[in-house]
Amino acid sequence: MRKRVTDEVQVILNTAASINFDDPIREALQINYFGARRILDLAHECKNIIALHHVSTAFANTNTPNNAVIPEDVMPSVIGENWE
Amino acid sequence: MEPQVLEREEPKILQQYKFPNTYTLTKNLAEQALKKYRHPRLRLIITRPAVVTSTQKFPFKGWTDSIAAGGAVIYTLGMGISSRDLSYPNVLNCTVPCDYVVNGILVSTAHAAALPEPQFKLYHLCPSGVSDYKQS
Repeated sequence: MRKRVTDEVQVILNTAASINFDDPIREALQINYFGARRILDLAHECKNIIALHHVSTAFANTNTPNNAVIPEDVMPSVIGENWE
Repeated sequence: MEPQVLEREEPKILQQYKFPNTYTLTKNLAEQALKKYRHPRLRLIITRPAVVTSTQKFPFKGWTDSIAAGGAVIYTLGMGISSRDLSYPNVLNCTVPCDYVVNGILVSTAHAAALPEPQFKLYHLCPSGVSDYKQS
């Protein structure tokens, strides 16, 4: 099955997430963070991949001060690069 | 880090990095990781929808399959199950119809796929003062 996916898939739309906002941090990390990482690995494995689309949330930068303008780009990490 | 330690430290971590809940924190981390570990030949698109609600037009007005998150507020108020919703008086509630989000996802993916060079793109799918409303 995985071989068929990696042989044939061209576009991946990743809309999966846990929208239970107060999940224990372990579960939230497993689904929202490691889920996205695994999809990225899968996309890299696909031979004919054209595009990977990941759906995040407008509230991904709610740690910024009130009334801050959030650019259409990934903000610098707040936790540091090597938190894992 | 040990799972038990992580659970215990959760409120401290959220407070230290000023995130209101684990959802926003982990979504933020996922964005960082995707951008960091992206292969240069892969077209990567990230969209950031606001609170997704029922459809505006397609397949028909008001379609929804979930009463989670924003839907729960609208459903319970609309059905008369609850008559009040407590919130801060000046907080804006930014909602965006489900079909708009889906169209945005499809169009941005098609656009990125048509670009000559693979690159990283990020789009916001949020209202800009058009459909914001105060929840109080």
